Amino acid sequence: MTKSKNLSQILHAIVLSATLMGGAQADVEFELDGMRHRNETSSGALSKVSMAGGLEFFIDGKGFDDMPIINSVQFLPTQNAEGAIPMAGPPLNIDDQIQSATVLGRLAYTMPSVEDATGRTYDALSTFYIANSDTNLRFRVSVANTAEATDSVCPDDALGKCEVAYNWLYTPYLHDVSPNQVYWDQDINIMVNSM
Amino acid sequence: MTPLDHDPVVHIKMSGTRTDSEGYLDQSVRLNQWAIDGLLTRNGDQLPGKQIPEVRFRTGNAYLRPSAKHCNFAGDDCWYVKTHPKIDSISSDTGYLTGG
Repeated sequence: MTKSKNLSQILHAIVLSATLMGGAQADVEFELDGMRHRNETSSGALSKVSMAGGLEFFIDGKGFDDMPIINSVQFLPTQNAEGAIPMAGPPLNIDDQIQSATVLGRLAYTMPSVEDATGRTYDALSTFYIANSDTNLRFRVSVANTAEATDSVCPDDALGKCEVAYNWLYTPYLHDVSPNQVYWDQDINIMVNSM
Repeated sequence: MTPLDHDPVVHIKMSGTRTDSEGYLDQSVRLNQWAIDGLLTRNGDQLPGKQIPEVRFRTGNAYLRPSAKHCNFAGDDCWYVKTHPKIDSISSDTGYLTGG
């Protein structure tokens, strides 16, 4: 009798611990740890980026498909975001695919231009700043595993690690290339305002 | 701010092909803030045609302002940078009407 009671208690403990472990795994299975610059020694989170895109970064987390190209990076607007749905960014380019190690929880991605991310022109977005009195165009990044139909997102207590803001003040301008008709090995002067 | 031991830009490309900045750009070159400055580089071996310049900084690419776009007089042909074939030498400066 005592033996069977002990056995029952052990079984109960096993089931309970398995349930707890399963629950804990479910919580972190599709979770992002954050975003970081790809070519920097610092591991700080991303914050402001150029409106023209081009910034290369890593997204760390869990729930990615083993094939990098299967994963789709999503941009959710966080200003006036009532009813907003995430917009899928362009697919990973070839450099992103090579530098990703999704099995290890690392997805490489190159920031699209704000036009590619939102499908709107720079001019159309200009009214946004007037309406919101904000120079930032903020998005929360998530990763959709399109094969498994799952989404990896930052946890509620660390949403800032997945937020990125397009900002004109962080956008260098290319004014001109001189001369603009060139041949091989010719010197050219690229006129920029690095801001 | 760009670290002192970094080049002023990450890369300069023409339609995906890097330009040659050896001898022109290194960590000693710094750009003025809030002013138009020049980045001197050397055009690479591009296929003839229209190229889209890409200058990448730490925060991302430079935005191509409308001033960077050039058009012909008729306005029906526009480009940012146009690359042309280059003739380095001609093997013979005399010949026949029939060729050769």
